[in-house]
Amino acid sequence: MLKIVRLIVSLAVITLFTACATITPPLTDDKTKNLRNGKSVVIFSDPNHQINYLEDIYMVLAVSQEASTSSYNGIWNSEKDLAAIHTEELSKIGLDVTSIHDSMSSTDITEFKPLLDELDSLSKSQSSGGFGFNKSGDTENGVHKKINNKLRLKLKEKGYDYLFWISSPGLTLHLKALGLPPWQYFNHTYRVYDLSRNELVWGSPLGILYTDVEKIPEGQTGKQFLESNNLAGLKRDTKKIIREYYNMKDKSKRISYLIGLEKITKTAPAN
Amino acid sequence: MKSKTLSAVSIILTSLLLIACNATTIGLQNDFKKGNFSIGKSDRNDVVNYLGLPQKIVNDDKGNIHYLYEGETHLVGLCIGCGNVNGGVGLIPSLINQHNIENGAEYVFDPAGLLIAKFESEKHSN
Repeated sequence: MLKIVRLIVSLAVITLFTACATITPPLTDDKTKNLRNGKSVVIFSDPNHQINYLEDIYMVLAVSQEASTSSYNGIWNSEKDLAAIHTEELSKIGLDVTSIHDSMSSTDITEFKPLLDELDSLSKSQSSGGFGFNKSGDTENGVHKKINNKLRLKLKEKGYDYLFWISSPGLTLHLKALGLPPWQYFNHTYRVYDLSRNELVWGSPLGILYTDVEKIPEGQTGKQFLESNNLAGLKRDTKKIIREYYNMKDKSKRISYLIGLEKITKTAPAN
Repeated sequence: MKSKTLSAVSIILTSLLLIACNATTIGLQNDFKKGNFSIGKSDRNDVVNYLGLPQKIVNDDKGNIHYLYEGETHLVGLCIGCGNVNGGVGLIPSLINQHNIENGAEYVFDPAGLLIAKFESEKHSN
């Protein structure tokens, strides 16, 4: 029952995010210059550690939708593997970035995990219908404006100036009826913190990125498609979608353009 | 004329049914006993290779790991007279609330991943 409630809440939140994905305006030139000149650390947070499955069932006069989840908690360290992909893509933009997993020992990460989870716990409160709460203090619209000072000092001690905190509720595979191709989406929330000022400088829940999956081989189920061969499909598709955030055909939707690290150059019309 | 219309309708209906039959499913297993997992012999990989990932993973105080499997999906939406359900929560929420999972299994592994206990329900014929 709790799972159903959680799933319904997730779907409602996804709808809300789609409807009102308020993206902070791109950073100003002086701020992007600081970001480029500074050292950044990347944290990828995957608090649910689960795949979300949706299946539309065609019943001639109606379509029903069934759902299930698969937990990979303790089986796949998605936070380490996917932080590495974000780090790689952010470095291609020209930033000096390091994954937290290459910077801190696993003992340190375990010690700081509760502080990292604090950032997520607020996202979860937000998911529970807390939009617009706590406009004073350290949070606004369910987003931390500051990070825990102990964590901040630890990151500063390591020489970092900025924190890229990226979070996702997990990959969803939506199997469609009537021969329609399946969809996958892997929603992301981005926040960039200035560690010297302990200030949120850029961030937003980005809109959902829909991707048509490669054709699922005949006779294969959704679970087999993503989970067989030591989660090969899940690892392949999460990485593929993350790379799309940085390399979309529509340049204006790329992370680098949304943050303001790259600008769209408009060519003057020929006279 | 009538027979032409009838055959056209039947062709369309058959195609739609065929499309429905070919649809990919999530693929939850519900015949848990068929896995023949042996306590003290089978491990986490054996269970995951056969059943896929569990719906829930819980660690207990003794360091043992519990894999909880559901043999059925949850109904989360129903749309009558429409072509597709697009991530909505459904038009008949009462049906959603009445849907309980009655088929499942729990496998308990020691910290090394060896199966030390199992609880499997009988396969339900749907």
